[in-house]
Amino acid sequence: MNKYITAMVISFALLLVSCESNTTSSEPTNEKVTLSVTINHSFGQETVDPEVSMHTNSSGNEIKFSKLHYLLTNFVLVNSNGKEIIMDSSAAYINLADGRVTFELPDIPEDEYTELRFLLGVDSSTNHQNPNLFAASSPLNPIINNLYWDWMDGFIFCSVEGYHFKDGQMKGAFAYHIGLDENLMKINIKNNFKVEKGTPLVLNFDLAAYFESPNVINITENAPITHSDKAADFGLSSKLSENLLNAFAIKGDK
Amino acid sequence: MKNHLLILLAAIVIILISLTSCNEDDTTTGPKSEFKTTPYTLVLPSNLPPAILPSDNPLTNEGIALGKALFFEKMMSIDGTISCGSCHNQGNAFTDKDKIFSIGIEGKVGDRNSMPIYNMFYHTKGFFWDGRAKLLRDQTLGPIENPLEMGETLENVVNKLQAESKYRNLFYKAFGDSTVNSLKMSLAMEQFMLTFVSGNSKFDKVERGEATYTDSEQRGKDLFSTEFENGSGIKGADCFHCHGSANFSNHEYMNNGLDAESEFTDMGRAKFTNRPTDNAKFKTPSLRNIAVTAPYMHDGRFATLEDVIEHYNSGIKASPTLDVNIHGIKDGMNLTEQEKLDLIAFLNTLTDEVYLTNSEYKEN
Repeated sequence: MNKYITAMVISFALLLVSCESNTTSSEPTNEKVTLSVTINHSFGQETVDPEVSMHTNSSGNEIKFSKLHYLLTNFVLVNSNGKEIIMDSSAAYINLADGRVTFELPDIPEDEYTELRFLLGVDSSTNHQNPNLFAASSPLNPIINNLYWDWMDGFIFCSVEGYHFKDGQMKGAFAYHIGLDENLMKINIKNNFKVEKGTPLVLNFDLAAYFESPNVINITENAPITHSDKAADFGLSSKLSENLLNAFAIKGDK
Repeated sequence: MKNHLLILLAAIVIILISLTSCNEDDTTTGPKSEFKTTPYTLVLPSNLPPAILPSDNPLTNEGIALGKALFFEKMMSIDGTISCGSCHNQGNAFTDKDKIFSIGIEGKVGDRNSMPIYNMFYHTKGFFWDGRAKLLRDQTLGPIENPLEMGETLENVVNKLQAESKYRNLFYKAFGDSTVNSLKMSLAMEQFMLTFVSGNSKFDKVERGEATYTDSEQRGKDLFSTEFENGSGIKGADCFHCHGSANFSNHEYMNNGLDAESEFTDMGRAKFTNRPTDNAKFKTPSLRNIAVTAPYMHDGRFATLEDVIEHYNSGIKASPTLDVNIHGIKDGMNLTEQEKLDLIAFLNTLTDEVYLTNSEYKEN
């Protein structure tokens, strides 16, 4: 009889350990969670649907966005005690037309936070490192993001492209590509948010702010294309990168 | 005693559960534990970014060997006349030499230009001119059932291969099981095509510091990678917006101004997505080995690279889905004859003889 009980105990033990190799963190550290972050894209109160929805900015440009893609790196969360959770190697690639709008930040302690900071773009050393050394699956792999300027050895930080219309008639296209170290955008969102298991953090990228906060951009009065060359774009890239500082918010009640 | 037996039975059941409980993650196609395959390490030249390989289909010598046999197997077609290799010739970067459209079974003419095969591990946004195959493995089965190409059913192909001891053997070596099915076929062909690397052209050698451009090639490269900006004093041919990256493509679907809306005959990506916003959008081809893949465009309308450059220089036709970056050149770029020659000189540096003659890709 004892033999059989022993056999059963061993079998149960086998059952319990057999899956352990698949679960890497079985120790009870339940206060650290993987935070899922989703970015919504709006134009004021309107939802942006690439190539479909039409939006009118304060200059009267009727805009259809075709492509919106960008890099976010170096996330920092600040909790209510002022403690900073710094993730130097964090990076995300967002591509609205492809539906790539969600990413994860691992190992975030469950807590109340008051501030979220990140770079829209990449820091100077990342910008000028050998781009072939990023891991295949990295958001920074140029093959994944199509945001690398080979001939300038640097990334496009944020690319916004679309068509503009007047009274429903297409007037042309625009392609605003912001890059270069001097245009690196340090986004700082001050707002209370809670990190807890199973609750995603939702951010909003407001494209109305992109066109007017604080610099009002009239597409027809500017070059249709900028690659951030200040001499060629008469300051358009500087204005846009300033506006982008105000375009991101944590979604929810303020 | 009965109780003892019951307890013993319970113990056996529990052991069985414990053995199977972790198998959910196993892919049904992976080699069996007692079965040994030899891993194949894909080596890329140092100037190429890392390959994005499928984690659920590791490259093995045996899988690649099976994929190669299938690639050159004419039993894939209904009448035994056409293999993949029939329309994908290595010397032409695996396109169909000089053919606007390939000829399938019974002389049937295809409807899109044969696409090149190399560096497939960089194509993260689908396959075929319209991207209707999400993964390379999905692509491999398309031509078999296409009535203009091989005109066969997958079921018949599976039966024909299953009847051959050669294939039972190759499937066993690759997958530990001699049963033929279309999933295994597609995985093996995916493996074989993932081994096609092009990264040893003159361009690559210059990147690695092993060669230098002629003056004309250098001027062509500068034109290639400089934007065309009206009014700013900068003048380039603006090729890089779509043909940038180490693989000379963004691998996306775009309308490059071949036709006005009233002239659209092939709706391209919209045929697959049913979205009007995808009308006349086709995959941006890589420009590696472009000198040996004539004719050009999804419908092979341009016979030469000169024709292609003239299209971008003076032939863009506007339409609602014309790509934003092409809008910038739609009124013409006014390239000089010398600038056109320089661009072609640069494009010719993208021909990679190492890849075009690599014996690993040849039929056994």
